[in-house]
Amino acid sequence: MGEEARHRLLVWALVAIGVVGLVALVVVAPTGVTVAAVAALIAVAVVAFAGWRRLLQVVVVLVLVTFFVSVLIRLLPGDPTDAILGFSTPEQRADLRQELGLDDNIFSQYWDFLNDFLRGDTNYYQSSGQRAEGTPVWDRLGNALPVSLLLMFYAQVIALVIAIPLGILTAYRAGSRLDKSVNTGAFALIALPNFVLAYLLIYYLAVRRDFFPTQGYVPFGENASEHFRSLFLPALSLSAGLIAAYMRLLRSDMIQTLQEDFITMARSKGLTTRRILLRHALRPSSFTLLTVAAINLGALVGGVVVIEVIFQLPGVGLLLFQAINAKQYPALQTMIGIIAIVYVLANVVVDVLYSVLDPRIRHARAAG
Amino acid sequence: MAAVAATGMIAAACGGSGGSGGGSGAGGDGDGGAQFDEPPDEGTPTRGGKVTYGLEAETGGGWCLPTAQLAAGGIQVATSVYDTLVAPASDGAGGVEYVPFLAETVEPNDDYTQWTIKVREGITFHDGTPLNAEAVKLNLDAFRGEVPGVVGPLFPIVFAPVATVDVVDDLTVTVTMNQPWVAFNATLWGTGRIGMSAPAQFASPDNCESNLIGTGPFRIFNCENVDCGWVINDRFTAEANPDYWRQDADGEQLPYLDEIEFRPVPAVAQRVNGLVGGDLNAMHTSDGATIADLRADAEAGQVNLLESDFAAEIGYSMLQVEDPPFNNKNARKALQYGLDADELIELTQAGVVKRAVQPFAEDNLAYLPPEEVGWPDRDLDQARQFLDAYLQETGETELSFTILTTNDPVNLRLAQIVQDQLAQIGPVNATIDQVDQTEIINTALGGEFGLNLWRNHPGGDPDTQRIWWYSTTPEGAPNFVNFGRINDPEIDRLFDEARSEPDPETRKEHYQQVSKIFAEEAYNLWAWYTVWAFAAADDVHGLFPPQLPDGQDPVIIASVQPVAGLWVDQ
Repeated sequence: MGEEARHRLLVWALVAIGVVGLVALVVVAPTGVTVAAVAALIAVAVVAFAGWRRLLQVVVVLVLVTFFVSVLIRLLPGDPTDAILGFSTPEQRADLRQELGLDDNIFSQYWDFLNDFLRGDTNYYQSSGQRAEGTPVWDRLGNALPVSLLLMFYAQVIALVIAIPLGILTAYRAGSRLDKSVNTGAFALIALPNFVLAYLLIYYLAVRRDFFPTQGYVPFGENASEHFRSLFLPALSLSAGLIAAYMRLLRSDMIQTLQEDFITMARSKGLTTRRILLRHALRPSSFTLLTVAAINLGALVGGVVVIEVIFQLPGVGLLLFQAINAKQYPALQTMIGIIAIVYVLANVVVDVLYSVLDPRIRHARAAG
Repeated sequence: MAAVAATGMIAAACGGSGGSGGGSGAGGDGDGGAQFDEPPDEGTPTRGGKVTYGLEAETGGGWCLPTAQLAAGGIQVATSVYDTLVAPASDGAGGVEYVPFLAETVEPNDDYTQWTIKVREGITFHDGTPLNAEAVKLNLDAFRGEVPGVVGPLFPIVFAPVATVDVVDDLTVTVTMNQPWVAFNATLWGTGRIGMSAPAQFASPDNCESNLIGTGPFRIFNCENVDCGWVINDRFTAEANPDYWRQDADGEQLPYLDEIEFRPVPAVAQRVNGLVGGDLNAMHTSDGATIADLRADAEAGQVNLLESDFAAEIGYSMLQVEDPPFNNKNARKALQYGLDADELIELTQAGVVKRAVQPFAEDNLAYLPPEEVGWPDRDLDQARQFLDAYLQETGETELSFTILTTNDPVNLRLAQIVQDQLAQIGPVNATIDQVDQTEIINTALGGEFGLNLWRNHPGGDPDTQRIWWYSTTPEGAPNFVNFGRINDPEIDRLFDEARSEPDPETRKEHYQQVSKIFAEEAYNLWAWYTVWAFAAADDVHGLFPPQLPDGQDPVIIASVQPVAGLWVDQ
């Protein structure tokens, strides 16, 4: 397959991933089928971009990450059976420990988890009743995942929509009063914890002015405008630190790019400033921004936990918070495992996107 | 026994005693306690509308009542969907009596070894099946642990004195005890947890926790006009039950609302924000500082407010008295004289709560006037004397122990103030051990503490508290829910005699003697009576529940606020 044909396949695969993912999130709750479809498309993109070896690398990374997560969970203080069986005798807790395999070694526990996970068995919330199994984790996770993913997506969109123009502007006017003012504002945003900003936004925009709800979530399918209203303040709270970071990164890269010869050539050819900035300078300046945006998915997950608890959004963050408090090990392992998978795959997608953004990488590969 | 565990579950689930209740609040007489506790004249209720009620927590385990471990938030939802056989009512003399609710009659035989329960005719569950004797027997057997698939860890202990439940006719069951049980009817309320579920709910154990089918004023089963259901961490939405069996005092069908929605909002600040911002139009809280603020809002006419410390829970410091140091009476007395409960109330409860010197609230059968309890005032000199006596007896150089509490900032602050107060006595080394809310019960069960900040003991009948202080289970094994490991033969004897004592005055004397023993032995260091507040937007009314079916005046105990009478201005 030629380089250009591979590139076109790649682009269409990415578009298909985006469409399927969006449909799965917004219209249809994630099911095994939609998740498998997205995973398959991502695998196609990886193979198309970098071959089977890269796909194998991704699998190895996923195994290592999920194993590490399993180890970390076992290091949590306290006995999970204390939490699951609030009122219980030592004998009852011992029975539960055996049932959950908590007395087995970590490798054995991980192997059981992996076996179940690959067969689509995402474990159960343990209940205090007589039943051996409680609610399947996927029942709750499937409803919670769209909420969190949408929240993170909107936070990224808000951050990029605000950060990119500001980054371009401050790079173009580097050293000016505007540049200094915007940078000062950026430092203030970085310093402000997202939960503090959340409460400020709630007080001024939801309590004193009834512009947005103070809490709660409305699904898109139920009412689109209320959906966006319900997620705006949470997404804005989550995006504040990102805005500052992205703006600063883009500014820094763009200042360097604007000093390149090809920019000088473009100016000498009489191209407008707008065209130079948006058409010629932005793209090569955005690689760092892209990398950081992908890496920030991890930071966003942490922020999502806090923001969902404050705004009472029924997402994965709130489920995680409750599972940690309740020492629901099987549920916790599954949830964190899925988050880790999403994070690794998102970074793979970003790697793939580099070749879309930068033809030099495509051509270098073709030549090599 | 079980009722105690059931009623005490609120406290167990809530963990330590901090962060709730109030002190002497705005407009009060300076002695603390609930204000805004009288039902206002709100005019004629109007039909329709929706209430969105903010709860202090989600109920992750759902509502399979025989297995569920419900805390305040869960009980509030349960009371909207389920009814109990009995309900608490005012006895007209400032106390509580448990009167028939779903039941038409609940009658004991002469020696309280058998109770006969007859349910009202014509009541149906939300799925249309009748509430009859078979259904009542199934429910009671489920709570006893006799129904496979729905056996919980606690209620079988609660109902251990029940030998059999037998159907007599279509509406009547007899409950035969293996010992006389005078206060069995109090157990049947179980702080709102002993609701009657439809047999269909137990028939499918796998979704029992989310397939709620009761007889209550609201339903999530077969909703017709509302998108009902439970979305965990988001909402629990129920529509009015069109076939609800109750009417108000004027014969109007209950409930008045079309719909009720419960939303878990653990952060109390966000709950208040929601109320002010309009996303919620009702909420509950036991946080003293918040109650003080809500009182100001109520006086300004911005919210409607109802408070209750009726038959309230007690906030206190529990001592583990089986092991050193508090197996030594001098150590316990040193703390009893050294702790300043009034300061604790002022600093941690915004002065909203009322001081407690005994384990029974003012409206409890066993309440004793404080001056007769024998609880000493704070006296640092006396405390030092007891501390010195302890050190001499044991050869120790300091009184060393752990303060167990939950890991939230409010309870930590309470623990730090307690630590500071005790340090003023002398060589007292109290280290704070914070554990997660979910661990605190089993940590307490294991006796892994010296002093445990706790809250428990709501209710009108002291028999329901027996389980917490009786030294053994009915089978003679150590009583594992006697967290403090109290092994006092006199307390056991008093509870045994009172359980079977038909004369109310004699019963009262037995329980009052228990209070005096606590004052003398200082097993627990009582601090305050918890206040629960129920706030609503100014267009939401009916916070105070309507009259009970047979005309009695209802009471609100702990966090249980009946919602059948809520209405919204149209």
